[in-house]
Amino acid sequence: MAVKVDARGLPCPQPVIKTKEAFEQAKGNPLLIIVSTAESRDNVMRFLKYSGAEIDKIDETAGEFYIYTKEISGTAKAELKLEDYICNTQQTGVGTTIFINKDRIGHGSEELGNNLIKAFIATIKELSVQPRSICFMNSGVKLTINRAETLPYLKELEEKGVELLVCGTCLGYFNLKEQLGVGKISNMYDISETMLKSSKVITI
Amino acid sequence: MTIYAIITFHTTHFALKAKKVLEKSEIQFETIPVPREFSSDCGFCCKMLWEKKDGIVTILRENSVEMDSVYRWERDEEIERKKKFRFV
Repeated sequence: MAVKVDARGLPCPQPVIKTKEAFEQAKGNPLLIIVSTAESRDNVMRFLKYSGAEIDKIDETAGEFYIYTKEISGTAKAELKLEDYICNTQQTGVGTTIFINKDRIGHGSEELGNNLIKAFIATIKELSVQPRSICFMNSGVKLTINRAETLPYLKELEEKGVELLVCGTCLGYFNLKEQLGVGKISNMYDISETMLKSSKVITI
Repeated sequence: MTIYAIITFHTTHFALKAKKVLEKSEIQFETIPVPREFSSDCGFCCKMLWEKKDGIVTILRENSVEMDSVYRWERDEEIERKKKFRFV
């Protein structure tokens, strides 16, 4: 029976460490290692190769990788040097953030741009996929105030659970703080942290 | 269930002109992107309650705003609001 290593969601080099532990206990059984990033897959494969294990097959389903080895005999040939298995890239974040830094889309016509941003927000709320957060800065904050045409759409998004962060400094600059109609007054710390923690930031 | 009228236009210029003209009237309407059901073209349209459409068409005609079509759009806002979605 295959010895199973479920290393999904673990930051590297943990999948490799767990693989090594299983390797030592395999006693003639094959291994099945499950990881959830391509980088972990590559690291585990590299470790297996240097340790003398034979890969049977790799299946990829729904972004997860199932690595099957043939029967493991003996102990790992190579010493585990963790520095060889440090991830080169940062762990990816979670969710999409939309960064709206003006009250319109694009350059050219202000009138068209105002209508486009309104249409954009009206359309997002209709989609089957939703961003986790929307951050508003500079004149983008004007979309969140009471008389904004975008207000009902943003309220619907907020009800759905989309986090709306509105730059307090910007509201203050435009003298609109009292008129905020939706979202949470926020600051540079929260907004920049939200962006950095997202897997994707879309700037409008 | 709410019944809306969707009025489409030949060009974006007419759609934006319609918005300007209608904003001066008291009639409730919205300018939204043309729903996928009616056209895959990019464009704005005007959305209003079905019973308001005759008044709006009259105003647009009086102001020489060329219209393309008027569609009937039945929508259950409650169901729309509860539709399943996922965060990405």
